[in-house]
Amino acid sequence: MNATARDPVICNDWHPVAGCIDLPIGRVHSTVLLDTPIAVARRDEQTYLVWLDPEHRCRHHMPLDAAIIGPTLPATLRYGHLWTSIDEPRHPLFSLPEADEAGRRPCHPGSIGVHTGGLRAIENFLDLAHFPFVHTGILGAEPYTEVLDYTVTINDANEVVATECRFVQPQAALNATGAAEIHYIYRVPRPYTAILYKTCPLQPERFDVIALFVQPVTETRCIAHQWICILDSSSSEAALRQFQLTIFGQDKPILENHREKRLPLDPRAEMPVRADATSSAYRRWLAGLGVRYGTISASQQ
Amino acid sequence: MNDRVSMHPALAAYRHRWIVIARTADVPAGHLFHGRLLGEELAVWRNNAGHINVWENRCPHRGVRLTIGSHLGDQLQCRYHGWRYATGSGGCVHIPAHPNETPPARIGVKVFRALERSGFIWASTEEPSSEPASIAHLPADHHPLRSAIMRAPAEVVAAALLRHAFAPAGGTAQRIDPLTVVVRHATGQETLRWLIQPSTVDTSIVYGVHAATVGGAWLEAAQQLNASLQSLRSTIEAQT
Repeated sequence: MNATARDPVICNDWHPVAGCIDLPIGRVHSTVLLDTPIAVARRDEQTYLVWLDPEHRCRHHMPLDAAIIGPTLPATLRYGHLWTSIDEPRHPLFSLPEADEAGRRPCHPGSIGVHTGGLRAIENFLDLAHFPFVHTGILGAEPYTEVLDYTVTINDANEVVATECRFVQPQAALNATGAAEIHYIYRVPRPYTAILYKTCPLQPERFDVIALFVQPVTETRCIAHQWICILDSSSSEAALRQFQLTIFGQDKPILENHREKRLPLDPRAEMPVRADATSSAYRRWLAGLGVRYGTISASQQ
Repeated sequence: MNDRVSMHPALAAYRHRWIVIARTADVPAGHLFHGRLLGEELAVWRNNAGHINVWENRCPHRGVRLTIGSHLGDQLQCRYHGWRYATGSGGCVHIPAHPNETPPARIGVKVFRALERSGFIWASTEEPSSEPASIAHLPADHHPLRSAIMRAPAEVVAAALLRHAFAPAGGTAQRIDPLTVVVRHATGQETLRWLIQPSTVDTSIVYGVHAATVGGAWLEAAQQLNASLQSLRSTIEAQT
């Protein structure tokens, strides 16, 4: 709670609290955001409610009843998720124009609780070098372990962007028919949000969009909400979900075995190499934004 | 599972001591043993030649536990990015993301001093003052008992072991150093030794060493001592 109180950047930001498909009409969804118990409900097709539930009175899946609704928080439905803020949002929600493109299939593969800080989950999402060891035979395989140099910049919207990322992948996507060098662009619009643009196996001139929206539950626990918006029109929804959940299931035991669950911002705390350029830029960018929640600052080392 | 913290002041007094961290049998060939000493998490393993490594259980790259990695014989490989570390020095010898480059010499796992003697593995978090009596004078022919984890500080455990004595009639119990209690027969011959490992500030592991006795009497004595130790554990944990 202290860290929350100290961190206006995170408290005034939008955070995902549920995937829409997980919100049946008239039922309460109880969760925690930034150490703060909240409740979420869908009143009807159009109306979503988020409110503070400091005494944890709302049990999961209980019927929505006016008597249990506490002080409400802002609520925005976008990118397959419900977003809220425990304070006053200082910015509109980040943009993701591909979400509105024709011919794409939005899909919410799942929301997974992870016993690590949310920034660790984002950093892992931005990492290429682990593919051959963690996603063996799918997103990477030995001996193709090399991470070629790529470019990391901060764009005009003050987002971290990594371009020209390339990696040889045996099974880059469900509809891939063999190994291929896949091109990636990473974009980090907000501290707990990361988006990946990835070569589409069937339309090489366009990119599949894979996003990770992380709900910081506490500084050392999070819920990873996945959202994909891809060009695959033939695979079944179940198969798409299974593919993404398999990938995340491989990351989870790694994420839960970080000795420090919070992300250290001091560059000396963990040894980076060139392949970690995105991660290094991400940590510098977090420090520059003044993010404290979920981090270990240089002075705390 | 918590974030790392600097050493608790109550543990700092043990920094320069050799402390037992495992029995030899706990670390068979090819195994990665997850241990704990003075709040530090350890990755304990032996190389192909049997040499014991006691390392901080943390890859210096992204802080992931090395005990979920792979034992490659003379190297340990981190499961996250495949970085490999050499037996002995703990120095990084391979970074797969840059396979044609020599890893920078500054990258290495934190290595603790380690010794294997008399059926036990010993480690020290800092330069030890000397090889202590608790190692040097173990009875030549002895049996290690089953170890017992107790949720209590090492000081409390040591005092309780001394008080409880386990001494035969006419025998004596003596605390020869802060983490060792020796029990002697009335004749002065050592019958039993307790070695205490302060795992964390509030968790200790007790290893018993029973002097050899003739024939079947050994097993019966060991069972009795194990039962007594479990009873002592309940008493200690009820008080703390």
